[in-house]
Amino acid sequence: MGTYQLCLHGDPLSPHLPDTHSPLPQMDLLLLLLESPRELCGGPGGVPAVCGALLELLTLPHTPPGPPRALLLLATVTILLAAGMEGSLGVAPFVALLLQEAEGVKQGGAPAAAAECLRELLRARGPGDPPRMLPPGARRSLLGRLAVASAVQPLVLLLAEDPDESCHTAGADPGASPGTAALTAAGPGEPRITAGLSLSGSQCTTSLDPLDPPDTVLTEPGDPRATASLDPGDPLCIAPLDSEGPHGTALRDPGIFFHDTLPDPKDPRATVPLDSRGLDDRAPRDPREPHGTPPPPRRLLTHSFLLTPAAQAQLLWVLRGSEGPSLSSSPVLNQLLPTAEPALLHATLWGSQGGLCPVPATLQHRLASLAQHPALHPSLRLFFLFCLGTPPVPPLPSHLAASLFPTSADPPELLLPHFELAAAACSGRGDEGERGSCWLQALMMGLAAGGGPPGVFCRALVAFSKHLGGSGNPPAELAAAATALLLRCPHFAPQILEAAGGAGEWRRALGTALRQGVLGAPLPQNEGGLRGYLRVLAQAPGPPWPKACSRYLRHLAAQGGVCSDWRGGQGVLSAAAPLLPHGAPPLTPQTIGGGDLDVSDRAGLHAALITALGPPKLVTILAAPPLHVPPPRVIAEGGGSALSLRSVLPPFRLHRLPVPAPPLPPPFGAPLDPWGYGRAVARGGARGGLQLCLHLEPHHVPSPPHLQVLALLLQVGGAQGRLVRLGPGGADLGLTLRPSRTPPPVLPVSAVFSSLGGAAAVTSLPPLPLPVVAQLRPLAIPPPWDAPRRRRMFDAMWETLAGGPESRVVWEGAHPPASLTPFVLDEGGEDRGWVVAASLPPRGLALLWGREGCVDMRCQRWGALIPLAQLLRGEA
Amino acid sequence: MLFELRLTDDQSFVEHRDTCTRIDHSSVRSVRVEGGDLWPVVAFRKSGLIYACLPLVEEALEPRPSLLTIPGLSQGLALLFGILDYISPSRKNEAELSAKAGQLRTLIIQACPLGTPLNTNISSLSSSFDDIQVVPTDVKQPAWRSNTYKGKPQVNVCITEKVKCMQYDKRDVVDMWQVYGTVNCKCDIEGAAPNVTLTLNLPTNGSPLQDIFVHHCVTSIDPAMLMSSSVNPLDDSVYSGPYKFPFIPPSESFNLCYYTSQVPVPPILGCYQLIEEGSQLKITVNLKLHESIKNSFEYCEARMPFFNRGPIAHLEYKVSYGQLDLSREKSLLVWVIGQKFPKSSEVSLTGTVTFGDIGEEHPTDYVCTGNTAYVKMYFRIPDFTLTGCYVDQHSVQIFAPGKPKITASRELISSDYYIWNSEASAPTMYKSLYY
Repeated sequence: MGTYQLCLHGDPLSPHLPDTHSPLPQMDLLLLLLESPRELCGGPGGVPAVCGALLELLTLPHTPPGPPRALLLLATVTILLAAGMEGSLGVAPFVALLLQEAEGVKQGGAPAAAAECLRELLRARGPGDPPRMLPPGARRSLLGRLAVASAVQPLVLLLAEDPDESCHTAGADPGASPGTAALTAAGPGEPRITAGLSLSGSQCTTSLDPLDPPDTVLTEPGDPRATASLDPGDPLCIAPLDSEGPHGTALRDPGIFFHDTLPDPKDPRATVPLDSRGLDDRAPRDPREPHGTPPPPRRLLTHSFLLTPAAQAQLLWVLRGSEGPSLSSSPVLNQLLPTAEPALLHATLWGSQGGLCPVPATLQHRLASLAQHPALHPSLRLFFLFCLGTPPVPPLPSHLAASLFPTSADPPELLLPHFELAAAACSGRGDEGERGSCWLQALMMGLAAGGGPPGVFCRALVAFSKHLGGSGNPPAELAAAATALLLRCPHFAPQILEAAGGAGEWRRALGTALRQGVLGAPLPQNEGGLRGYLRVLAQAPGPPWPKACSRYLRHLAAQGGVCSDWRGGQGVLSAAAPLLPHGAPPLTPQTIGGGDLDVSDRAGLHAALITALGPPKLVTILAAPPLHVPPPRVIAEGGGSALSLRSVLPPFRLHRLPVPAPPLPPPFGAPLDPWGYGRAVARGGARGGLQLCLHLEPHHVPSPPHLQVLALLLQVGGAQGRLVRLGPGGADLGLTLRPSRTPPPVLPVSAVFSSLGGAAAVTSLPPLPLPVVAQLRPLAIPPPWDAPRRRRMFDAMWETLAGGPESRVVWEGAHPPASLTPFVLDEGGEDRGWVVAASLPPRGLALLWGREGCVDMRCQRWGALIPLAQLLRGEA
Repeated sequence: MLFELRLTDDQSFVEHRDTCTRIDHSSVRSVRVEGGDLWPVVAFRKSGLIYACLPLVEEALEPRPSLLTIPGLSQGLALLFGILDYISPSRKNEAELSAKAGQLRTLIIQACPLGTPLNTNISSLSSSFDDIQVVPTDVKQPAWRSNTYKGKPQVNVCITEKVKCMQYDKRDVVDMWQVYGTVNCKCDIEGAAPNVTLTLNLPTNGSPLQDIFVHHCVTSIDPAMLMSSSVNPLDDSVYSGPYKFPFIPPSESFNLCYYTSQVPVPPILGCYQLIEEGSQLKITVNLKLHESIKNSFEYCEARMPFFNRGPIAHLEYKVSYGQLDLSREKSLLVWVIGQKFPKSSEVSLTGTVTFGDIGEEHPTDYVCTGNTAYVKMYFRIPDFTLTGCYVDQHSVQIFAPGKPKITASRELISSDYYIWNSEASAPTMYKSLYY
């Protein structure tokens, strides 16, 4: 290792190499190459140069053996694959080098790593790509390597994946290296193929190299030499394990690796019975195997015991589609079934030919045992349970299904899958299933009564309904348990409602029980409770009970407390809205919201809508319209007082205006502004929020239709706006968005509007681009970092982006604009200037440096510079 | 990933994650990232760490293929468990943990140098990269064994049995207990593929072993042993030995086999009563060591946590044996019984507890609401197994030159040993209703 110098001055790697050439940095660099090949090569253009450098290193006479060489090989392949160059002509010398190394010919080589590289390279090529096959003769040399050491895993996998039929085709291999054989497969009546080392005679067509593996010879049918034994003194004649030992003989037979040149069973010319091969006759035979030597894949399978479970599983998958190996009849199965190796059992179950192991009964039994084995990690048990419950694995027999029933003491991540499996098993099983169903109901009630996290009960209820479908009314205890759970954990109302809604025939009764529970419970004293209760009143399945609910809401509003602010008031109004079409009286602006203008506005809107349209039309207006409106078509139509709701092309456009926001609108109830002008609020109520100024412009100026835009929905966690009238000049709209997560650059928008004649329509508007400041996100900087440290970080990032997208904007202020305040890293001084750094999805950084009457900007994409400049100029 | 696992501060309802129609039947998740969804991400949590990987799917992703048709699913899972086995012994030592995490990079490159897992047993790999360049020199040598040991043969076997228990002291609820064991081996033997045979013995009245599964190095086992299972209690296929395991040992320490057993009695019988009287709780705990259990503990203590309540403000108690401690957080009572039960084999505790106002820092629990509460037992008995299972040193056969040194040990450890308050509801584990 001491003579090893990876640093080649002048090559693309040089900038990344440390000055010292100690082995550790070299190893680190190779590891980095394995992890980030493209980045270290400096992009696609650098790949050939780096590959060339690595190949040059590999061919140097004094390249050190051992780990650095193995890593060099791996790094080279990684770069080739990352650059998609595995099929290029320039790779041929590298493949030759890998072959040589994998054969073990090269002293100090890294044969296992070379074989793995070779496997990955060949695997990366498409199956129709001729170079996928190993060069003629090479395969046999590799097999010879296996004869020396059976457990060279990459070799086994390589040979299993590449069936090298070229070895079986007629004609000598002109490119075969000395010591390798070129064979012709035997046809009917032609000489047989057999194998051996110490045979002599004119039929032997191969020359043997001392390093070469046992080779093949051609003999006449019935030739006694076909059964000649290997020379015990030959180094390649590996003695099998002691057949009298405690392990039997099933698992090891090195002779299997000698048969690479046997005819393909599918080849009509290759009619030689496999069991007539001389070498095979000499190899110890497994008494459990049927008579006749199995084809090579089967033999690879039989000897897979010597591989690690990971490689053995890989082999099983590779052999899945091959002719010959049948796992179910292989002694290997007896070695696999008693283990708990997920990869092995998975491959056993699914990797066998035909997709399913033909011994499902034994395997099912083992999997059922493993799925509940207390010594295993829950994720592993879950995996085995998943295997059991996934088609086409046959349905579980009753005794196995019963053993897998959950208990309330199981951890939630196991309880639920067991519950669903049990529910599915009970379905359609008569009395037996009925008993199981009772058990599961009892378990659900235990869960609702506090036997686990509330979400578990809800999911169990949905699973139960899905498979066993409650009919009639649910057991009173179950409804009571669900209600008790709601009252105890009101913040789980969404899940409880979803569970009730998905409970089939039970949904109505469960919804009624939940609504009754809320109406009979003390008024909520905190925001979570309020939100949960209101959600139940608004969304529980079953009749809405408008009068009782409305009474409750008025009582709630009058109480003040949690309803006296923006959030509480909006929540109560949202719960009251669906009741209005059913005749519930609206809440008056004076009684709700504690004087909050938004809440009063909305309460006034409800009252005005009732007066203007009447309850029936409110159904579609107050219900949230879909965000993704289907293509224009009539959704529903009616006559007279019934509502006509259409999905139509939008008669107006939506533009975003620069801030500041327009002045506040007149209070609700004031005379309508003929120019149309309104205000909108966003649900969510978080402080601050993103201020938007929008302008709605009618299409048909100067005689636009008279429209009343009733709701505007922006897909950003929910935001509603309203306009009172859209006149010829359009209308401006001030909107505060309070998104709960990073908004997308453009927002899908839909609107519900109504003509003054009363026809209501829903429409999709073109997506609305958001200002860049809405997309900026602060960097994750540790809070303890002081300004100098943050400044150093900024300087480093600034240097990193040098040479990329960059721009300068005139800026007279001494401080950054207020909208960038959250992203200021250092306010600096006159000499240094202020600096701002932020993350700007979808990728990249936005860096701003304000100094001497200007702001310099650097980004990772050009498209970000323009909106940033607009932001600074106050245009965004 | 944190969002997907509900580990972020924001606990609000997110439909695609929290919908009740979604039941996770496997550890596979879909993680939303810029540009789409990452799938299938195999991920699970253990001891505060998240183990995650993204298996390669070689078939078309639309429509999503069935999970079980993806070989990488189980291989990824195996790799993660290999990492877990490597990391978990050091999880309580931060310095050791970060050192191991630093080593992981090189070890994973050896485990799957180009992405295909070749050896998921991370603990068996060295950081010297030998495993990706050295080839066994003997045809018989398994890939999972190195041939580096030189010296006198030594075999160390340790049987660890753990006992789980749920006791209720109620007429209508059946108690449950279960024993499961692990046989750990370390074999220092020369040679490429030495053969070893180990036999587990049971006394004549010992409880048969069930649900046996073995390390992949075991070359064969009696099929009757394979079918001896707890999944069908009416089945008469009980196998009571001999439990003979022929194997070629790996070089490192490994778990030769795991088993379960159904023993007739739990080692410690208990009764817990917790009653609310006004502002205070009255507690009574009685414990009795079964006569068949070796009365020689390394430690034995009973812990009584109090959830969804404030700190313990006042405590009055009387113990017949041992001592009672109050935890620093004042939400847990620890009754230290010590190394032995008294001659009567019975101990008791009575007391009253009052609590202060609950704050955010006090432990909460969904199960232990109201008066639902438990005592959890922690104990270890060296040189003892509940099943009676042991390794006779003379029965260990090693087919290698030299007289081997055999060391065998055993222990019984409590695991999830609960005694529930008999005066309130409690999670149950009994399943006989359906049978």
